Amino acid sequence: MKSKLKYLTLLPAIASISCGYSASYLVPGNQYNSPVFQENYYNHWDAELKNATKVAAKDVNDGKITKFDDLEKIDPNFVLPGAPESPEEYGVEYKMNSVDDMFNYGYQSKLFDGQMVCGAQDGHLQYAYQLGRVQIKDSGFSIRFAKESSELHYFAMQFKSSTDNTVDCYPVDSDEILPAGTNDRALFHNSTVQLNVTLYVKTSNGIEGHPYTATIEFDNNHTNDGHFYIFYAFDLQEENLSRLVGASVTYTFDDELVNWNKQKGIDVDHALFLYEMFLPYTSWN
Amino acid sequence: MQKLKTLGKYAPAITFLAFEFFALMAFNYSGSFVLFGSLTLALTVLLILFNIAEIKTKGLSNVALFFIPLFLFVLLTAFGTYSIAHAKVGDFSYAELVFIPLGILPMAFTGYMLSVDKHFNIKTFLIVVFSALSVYCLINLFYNIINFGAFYPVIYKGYYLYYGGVRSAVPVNEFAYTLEGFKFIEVDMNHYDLYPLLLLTSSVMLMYLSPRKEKKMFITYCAFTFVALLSLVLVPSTLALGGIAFIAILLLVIFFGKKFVRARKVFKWILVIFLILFALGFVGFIMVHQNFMSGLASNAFINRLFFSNRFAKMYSPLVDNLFSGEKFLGFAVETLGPGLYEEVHLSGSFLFDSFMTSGVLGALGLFAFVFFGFKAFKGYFKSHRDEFRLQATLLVFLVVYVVYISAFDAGEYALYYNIYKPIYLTAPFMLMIFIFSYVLCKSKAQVEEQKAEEVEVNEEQA
Repeated sequence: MKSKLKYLTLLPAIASISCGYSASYLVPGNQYNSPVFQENYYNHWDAELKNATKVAAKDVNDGKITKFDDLEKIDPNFVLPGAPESPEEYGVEYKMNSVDDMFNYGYQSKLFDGQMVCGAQDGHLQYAYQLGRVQIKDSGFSIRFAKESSELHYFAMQFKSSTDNTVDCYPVDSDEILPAGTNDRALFHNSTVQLNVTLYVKTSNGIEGHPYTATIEFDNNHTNDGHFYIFYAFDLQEENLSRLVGASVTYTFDDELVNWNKQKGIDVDHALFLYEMFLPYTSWN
Repeated sequence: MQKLKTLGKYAPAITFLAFEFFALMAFNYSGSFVLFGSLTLALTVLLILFNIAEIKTKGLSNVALFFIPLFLFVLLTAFGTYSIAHAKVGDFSYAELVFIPLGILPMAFTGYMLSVDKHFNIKTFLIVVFSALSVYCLINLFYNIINFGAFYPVIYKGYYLYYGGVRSAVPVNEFAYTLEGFKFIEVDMNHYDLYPLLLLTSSVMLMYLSPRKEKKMFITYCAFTFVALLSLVLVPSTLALGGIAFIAILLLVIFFGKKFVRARKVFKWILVIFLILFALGFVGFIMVHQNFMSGLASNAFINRLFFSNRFAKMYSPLVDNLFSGEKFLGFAVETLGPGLYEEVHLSGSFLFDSFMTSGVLGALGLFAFVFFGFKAFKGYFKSHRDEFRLQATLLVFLVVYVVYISAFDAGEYALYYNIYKPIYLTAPFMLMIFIFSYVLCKSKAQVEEQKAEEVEVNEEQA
C-alpha cells in the first residue's frame, strides 16, 4: 500500500514535465500586430521541415497555375450551379478549419479561417488589419500539420504583395520624398515575385519536400490584373502527392519601389501578406 | 396507500441512487442543466414514492414557508425578461428555462426528503461530493498542465491563444480549461478556481479527524485537500491564493471560536460591523444611482468611488433605475454579442447580476432563501443530529460558495464556444440549494421536536 502511495505522489511531477504542447501556440499580446512594419514578420520554421530533403523544383507557370476566374479547369465542381462566385465566397465554403479541427490552432490558423481580406476579428481592436493576415518576408515560413492528408488535388492561396509605407520614401519616378503613410505607391507599383511553395510529404525515408515555383507579376494600377488580392491555385492532380505533413512559402522579388529607393539610399522593406491557404478535397487523419 | 408503504423496503436503494446522483452533479457530468433538472425531478418522485410513510404532513407546511422565496426566485428567473430574451437568441434552450422551476424546486424538496430519510447521512454525502469534485479538479488540472505546463498563468502572463484565426479575448493567464460535457472549454480563471476552492473546504474535517483513530477518513480528507491545493497552486491566480487565505481564516475562526468564547464574540462583532457597512454601502450605492443624492457626486472621493472607477462601471448599469419599468422583472442585456437590447455587461458578481437575471423580486427571493438558510445553521448546530465537524464543513462549503459567487463569479463562459451559463444553471448552485434546504429542514425538525417535548413535559407536569 505504501509503495503504491509513493507512486501516486509522482503523478503531479510527471504532469509538470509533460507540459508544453499547446504552449507553443501562445503568442505575446502585441506580437505581429505592431505599427512597426518589421515587427510583424511571421518567420516560424519547423526544424524538421527546414532540414528535409527536397526533390527538384517544378515550375507551375507552364499551365499548372490558375487564377480564380479559371478555377473550373482544375476544380470540376466549379461548373456546377451554386459554385462560389468570388474568392470571398470560396473562402467561406472551402476554408480548411471546417475540414479538420487541427487547422483551428495557433497563429497560423489565420490562414485557414476562410477570411480572404483585411479586417480581422478581435475582441479589443476593431480595425486590426495585421490580425487578418500573416505577413512574411522573402526567407518565408513553414507550417507543420498535426495529421497527414489524403491525396492532394490542388493547392490554393490568397495573398498580396506590399512594401513598407510607414517610412519616408520616394515614389517611383520622382525625386520628391513623401512622408510615411502618404505613399500609396507602396501597394500600387510594378513588381515581380517568384513564389516558392514547398509541400512536405511523409515517405518511408522520412519527410520529402516538393517545391513548386511560380512567377507572378504585379502592375502599377492594382496589385495584379484588376484584383487587389491575388488568388492562385496550383494543379497537383498529376503529382500523386499524399501524406502531406507540412508546407512552406518563400519568395524572391524584383520590386520597382524598393529598387528606386535603394538608388536614393533608402531601404524599404518588402512583404507578402498571406490571407488564406486551401487544400481542397483532402481528408486528414 | 398500503401498497405504497410496502415500497418503503426499497428506500435504501433510492438513497443510494441519490448519492450517485450527487456524485454526478459534483462531477459536473455532461454539464447539462436539463439533465440535472430532469434527474432531480425523477429522484424526487422516487423519494416520495418510496418514503411516503416518512413524510410528516405536520412539519411540511412549516418547511414549505421557507421555500416561498425560492419559489419566487425560480419563477421570476425562468420567465423573466432576461431568460426569455436569451432563449430567443439561442443562448439558453427553452428546456433549460422549464427546468429552472422543475429542477431547483424538486432539489429543495429532495433536501426535505433526505433530511427525514433514515438511510441518508451527511457524512457519506460529503465524501461522495468531495470525491467527485476531486476527480473533476484533477482532470481539469492535468488537462491545463499538459497543455500549457505548471504555473502557466505566471510564465505566460500576457500571452494570447489563437483559435480559428481569432485571438482570444483575454490573455492565457485569465483563463483555464474545464471539462464541460465531453469536451474541454476555456473558461474564466475565476470559474476554474471555484471548484478547487469548494473542494478545499474539506480541510475543515481535517481539524477534527484523528490520524490514529480514523486513519482511512483522515487519509481520504488529506487527499481531497491535497488535490484542491494542487489545483490552486499549479494554476495560480491572485484569487486562488486569496481564496486559500480566506478558507484558512475560516478554519481558524471555527477551530478557536469554539474554544474561546471571547474570540467568537469578537468575530460576531466584526461580522455585524461588516454587515452594517455592506448594507450602508449598498443602500447608498442604489440611492446615488437613483439620483436621490446626486449632490454627493460633487464630492471628489465619492465621485471616484461610485462614478469614475471600475467598480461603478461594472455595477452601476445593473442597479441604475432598478425599481422602474421593465427592469423590475429582470432585464435583457447585451452579453455575448450585439443584437440584444441594452449595452449592459455581466458584472462578474452574481449578487449584482441576479438583479438583471431575476429582477428585484427574484433576487430578493434568492437573498431571503440564502439568509434563512444561513440562519437555520443556528438550529442545525443545536440539533446535534449530525456531528459538529460535518455541520461545520457544510457551513464553510456554503460560506465559500456564496461569498465566491457574490463577488467573483458570474457563471460559465466559453471563450471560443457559444456557451453561456449563469450561476443558477450550474451544478454547484443545485448543490447549494440542496444543502440549504437540508439544513433548513433539519433545524425545523429540531424546533418541532423541542416543541413536542415541551408539550409532553407540560402535560406530565399537569
